Amino acid sequence: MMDFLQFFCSGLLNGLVYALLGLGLVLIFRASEAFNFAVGEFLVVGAFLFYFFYFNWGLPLLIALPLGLGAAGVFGGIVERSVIKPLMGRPHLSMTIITLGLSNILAGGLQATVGSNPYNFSVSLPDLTLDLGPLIFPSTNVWAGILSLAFFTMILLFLYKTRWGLVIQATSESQPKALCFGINAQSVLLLVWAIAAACIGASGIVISNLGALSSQISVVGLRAIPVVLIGGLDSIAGALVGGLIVGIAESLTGAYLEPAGLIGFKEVVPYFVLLIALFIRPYGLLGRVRIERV
Amino acid sequence: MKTCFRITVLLSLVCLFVFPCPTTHAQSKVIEIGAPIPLGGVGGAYVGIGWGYTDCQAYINEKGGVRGHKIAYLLEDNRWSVPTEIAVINRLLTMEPKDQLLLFCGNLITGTLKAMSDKINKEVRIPSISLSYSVEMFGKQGGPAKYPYYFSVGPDYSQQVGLLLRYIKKVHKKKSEPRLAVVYSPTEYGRDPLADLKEDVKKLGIKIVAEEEMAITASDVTAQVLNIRKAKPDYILWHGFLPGMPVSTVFLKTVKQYLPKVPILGTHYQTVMGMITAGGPAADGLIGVSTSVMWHETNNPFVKLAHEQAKKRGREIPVGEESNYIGGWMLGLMGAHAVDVAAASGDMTREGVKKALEASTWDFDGMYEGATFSYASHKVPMARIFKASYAQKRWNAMTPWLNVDKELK
Repeated sequence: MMDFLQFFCSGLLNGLVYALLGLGLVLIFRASEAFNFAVGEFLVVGAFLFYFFYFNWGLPLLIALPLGLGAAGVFGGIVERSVIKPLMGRPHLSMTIITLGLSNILAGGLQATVGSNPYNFSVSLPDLTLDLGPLIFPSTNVWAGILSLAFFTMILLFLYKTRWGLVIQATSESQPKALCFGINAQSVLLLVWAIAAACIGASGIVISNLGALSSQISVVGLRAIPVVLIGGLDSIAGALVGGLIVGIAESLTGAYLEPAGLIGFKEVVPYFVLLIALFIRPYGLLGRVRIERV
Repeated sequence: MKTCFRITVLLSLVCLFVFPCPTTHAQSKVIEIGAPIPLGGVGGAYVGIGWGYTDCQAYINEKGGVRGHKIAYLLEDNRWSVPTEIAVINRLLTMEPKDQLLLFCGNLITGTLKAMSDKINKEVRIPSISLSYSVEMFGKQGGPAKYPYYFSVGPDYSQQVGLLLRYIKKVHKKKSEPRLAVVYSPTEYGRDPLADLKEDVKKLGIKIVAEEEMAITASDVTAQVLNIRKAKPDYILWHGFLPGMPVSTVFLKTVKQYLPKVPILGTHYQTVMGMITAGGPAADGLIGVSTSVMWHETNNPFVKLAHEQAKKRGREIPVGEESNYIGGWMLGLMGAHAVDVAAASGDMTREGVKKALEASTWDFDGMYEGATFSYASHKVPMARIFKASYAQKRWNAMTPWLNVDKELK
């Protein structure tokens, strides 16, 4: 039982990181109905921007973190203005497809600029190791969970407790209606991409702190796909639920199924869970059911 | 008459350029050495190896080349991928003249060696010096009898693991038998020494208490490390990873947090500078076998040469690339030496290079500090055990050069 609890809670902490990653995708999808396949590269770019401020420039964490996330936001804004905005008014699918191209361009650019070798990435944080006898949760994992939850909450508060958040929600609901109410939808889209990029960048920082920073951690970004599809592409709560499900499923698979001979199944299990979830609810567990009249 | 003379001179000049003297061409032909190396891909980019080759090439050619022939290392990115490397090798074999491309000398990953074994050893018959230490290729199951054109620059992985197991026996202080956890990647490379390892631990009285596979693309290894923790090991042996793989650092950090007092021991590619730079404090205290010299060992004549040449060419080797740079030099010089011996014997062909390598007693310009060994087994039987110091940012040798042919008898 204690073993189960240990693996379950470890999965829960990882799941919070995945939830934050998924949130970045959900925000973009709600606002522009585009699926951002460049999520892995956004993750790496955000983490590298923080790396420059914190490790290269040696700024204190409390300054480097907002600067890094702000820079990630600016990066998201640039992407929106240069890649997404020109496609406004075209089918949403074209926006999704262009993010595939963007992903390749960014991946190549990252390899050319920062290489593909890992960078040591150990942020100095107070030791929060939870040593409860048979249960142990290392400090970096506890911090990963705390920081992910904190970022997630901050974005929720921004969306639901501020005027700008309300504007984003209105635009996400219906761009034409928002325009009728005098909302500048284009500025809102810019803001959403910036927030989403910062959100994905924050998860990149947390993920890098668990290991190392490398252009190759972009592959972790792919975890966001089952996360948001399980939870529902347009559901913020779904990102949280999906993230936790994926984190726990991975951990329990690593603990019980892989030692039984299913080596590598941990990498596959999120997609397996996704398949089951989609059989039950094709729009995701908390996704909005769309009825299209033809 | 004047016109006729002019036409004759003109035709002569044209002939001179279009059909140059064959003797002159043969004498100055460039010797090509195929060198596939990882410059990208899932294993990381090891540009230092490329710099090593480039500087080695300049060094040899500035000295007049090998017996008057310039050397050219044909650097190609294999992306640490078997299909890519096979494509690179096939392309070079198809495009380059047989009398110029005399050998391969590069990464040649285990999977490629397996896939290309018939082509290289039976069909094309080209000597191939690999950075792989595959047991199947260079160990008991393989070797010169089965793969006559394959060569390696160090003991195979089973022998490296053997050295580590004997080290464990030597330092183990408890009365009970040492408890060992084994972690490897689910790749040809990772699983390579497992069978021999399991035989060896029985002979030595070491108990394997946990065996975990860890995918090279994994971003979280908490479950595997928790499984290891449950088994209460005294030592962890890990094999099948490269410093460029993010999972290596994730593993080191996770073990450091869950099992801070358990020593981690690794084979050659876990004992490189990149592991310290990527792992940071989590790499401190790592123990490993290396078949190479370390960049800071400037008393070693081979390292001294590499330092001098890097300085001469204004090349600053960044922290983390030192082992790769040394690796490039090792392969570069070994290939050039083999061609030199073949040329001296008047048989500058692929077959001649193979014979030269087999008969070689060359010690990389003093790299092994006077230790002697035979190269008849197609691998250099020399290695040392090192310990990582994060504070010093280097691997410190814990043993002198060990000849595995003697140590593992």
